[in-house]
Amino acid sequence: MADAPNTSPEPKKPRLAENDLNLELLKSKLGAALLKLEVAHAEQVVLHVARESLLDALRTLHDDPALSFKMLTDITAVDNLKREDFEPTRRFKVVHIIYSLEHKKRVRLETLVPEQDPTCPSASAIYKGAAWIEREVFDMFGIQFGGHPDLRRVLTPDYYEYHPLRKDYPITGKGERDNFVRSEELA
Amino acid sequence: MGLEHMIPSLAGDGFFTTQVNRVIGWARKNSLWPYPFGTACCAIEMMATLNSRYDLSRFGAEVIRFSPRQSDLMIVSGRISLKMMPVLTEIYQQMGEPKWVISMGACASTGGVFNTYPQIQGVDQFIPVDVYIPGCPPRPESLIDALVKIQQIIDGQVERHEFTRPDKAPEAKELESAKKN
Repeated sequence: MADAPNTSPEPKKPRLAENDLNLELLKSKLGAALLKLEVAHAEQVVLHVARESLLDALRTLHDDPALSFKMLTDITAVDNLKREDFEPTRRFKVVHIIYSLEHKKRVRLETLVPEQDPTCPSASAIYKGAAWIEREVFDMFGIQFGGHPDLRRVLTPDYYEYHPLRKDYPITGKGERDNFVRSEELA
Repeated sequence: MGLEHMIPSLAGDGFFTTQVNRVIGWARKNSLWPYPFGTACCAIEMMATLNSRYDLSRFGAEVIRFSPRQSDLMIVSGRISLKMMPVLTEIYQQMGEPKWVISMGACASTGGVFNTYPQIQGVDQFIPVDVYIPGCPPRPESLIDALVKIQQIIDGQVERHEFTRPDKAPEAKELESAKKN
């Protein structure tokens, strides 16, 4: 039997160039605002941040020329209610996905929001496009975005009382779809 | 009608007797002006029906009007959501009499696969529907068939059914009282 080739394994490169970030640079730039840096599924870089330092982190990522994440891809949320390790303090997770057009890199920020106080600072002062996306997250999950210029529902009607993507809302609703006035009763 | 021979002065070339309703119905059924309430993929099949290949104008219904005040046939084609239903009802009310409604496809007729909170489970709960087309989406031939059915209703060949909301229909009331007893 021949000896195994004596080569040390090369560090694994991410499959996509946009995930190939300088992690040390990110850690040093964000400093205390960063709770944890995770390389998640498909080598995507996830920055776990506290609610209080979310805006600081976004501001740094947006403004710093070495990072320059100028484009907001999406804001969404996750309801952890049906998770096995569910705790009310970790009910929601607000997710910001941002992209650097200059460096062609992408990161995801995850912020935990408790059930009792479902609020999160609005990113609309940093990313103008965040305002409408946050309206959708508010509509679907009931998360209040502090400092938002105009936090109204965007998908469901204004009179709607629930936040449909919460896991404790039944998929067929609570009878809203059956309670319209018949056209002949209106006339 | 065969009354010509009873009125000698009319019994010549160029005269026949009939009923006013039949004449008006004949004119109406051959020039239906549809209002396309297209909200989803069924509307694509509706457009295909209007194109030259299937050519709905063969049946006199090619003048698509986007104003309810100028149209007499509403084709509800697609999913109707919680937010859209009041709009649909209002547009239906703005259409002048006489008016007919086709509920095109599974979603408009029953909610289809979308048994979810914003999806109306059949527009016939809130507006009267004359003809339902099954399918997801229905083929253009089905829409042409529905249009011909509407023409038969206008012509009096097929009786127009009474509109009753499902939970207020006599059968539903009987079922409810049977349950109580």
